[in-house]
Amino acid sequence: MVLALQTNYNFILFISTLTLFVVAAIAEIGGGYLVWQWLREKRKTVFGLIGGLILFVYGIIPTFQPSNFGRVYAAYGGIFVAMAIIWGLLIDKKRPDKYEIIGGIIVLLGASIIFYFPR
Amino acid sequence: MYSLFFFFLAGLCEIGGGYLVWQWLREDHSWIFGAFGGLILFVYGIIPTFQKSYFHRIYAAYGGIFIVMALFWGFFFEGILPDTYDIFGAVIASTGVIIIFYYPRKEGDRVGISSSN
Repeated sequence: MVLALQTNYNFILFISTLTLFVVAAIAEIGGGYLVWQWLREKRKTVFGLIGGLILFVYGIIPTFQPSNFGRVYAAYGGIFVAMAIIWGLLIDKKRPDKYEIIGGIIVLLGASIIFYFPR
Repeated sequence: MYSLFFFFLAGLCEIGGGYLVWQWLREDHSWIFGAFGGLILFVYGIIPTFQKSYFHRIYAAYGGIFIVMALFWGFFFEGILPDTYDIFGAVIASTGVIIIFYYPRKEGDRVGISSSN
């Protein structure tokens, strides 16, 4: 009975921390994208302002992670790389080639070890 | 090498900005930390616009440098030494980044900066 509860707890912990990582990456990439649209594509200032706001929100999300700053951010870096490739696919329509996929999976593996390997 | 400088600068702003927001919300420092953190994060968003291009492969290279910088930051500013699995995971992640960025592609494009397709 206790083992089942512990497993449930671990699963929920995993899903919630993973969600935080993914949402943070979307906020970071999205915020940066809006700032890029503002400065490089010469869109209206409001793009830059909203981009800045979203980047601020991106900074808030990791504070919900149950770990120390260095570990959260290091693991996040790995998630970020994978999300950047996915963003390239979905938004810029650039299909990742074989090595981007392989490399992306390995980066995710590294990030998982940093964050999820039991101590 | 110019790119490397920008990566390092961007990493400082992203991690530094995030750290200020962290200090505000997790360590209960004044809202001014949060405000400055937000500002620095905004500056972090501006830095890539100075680069020639910022395609997903360049983001991958940046991510690799970011991971190492984050661990160093945690050590310098929080006194938390990365343990075996932090380092091991960072090495594996960096390997993945090197594959994304440097693995030779058949069409003859060597490094990710010039081509992104």
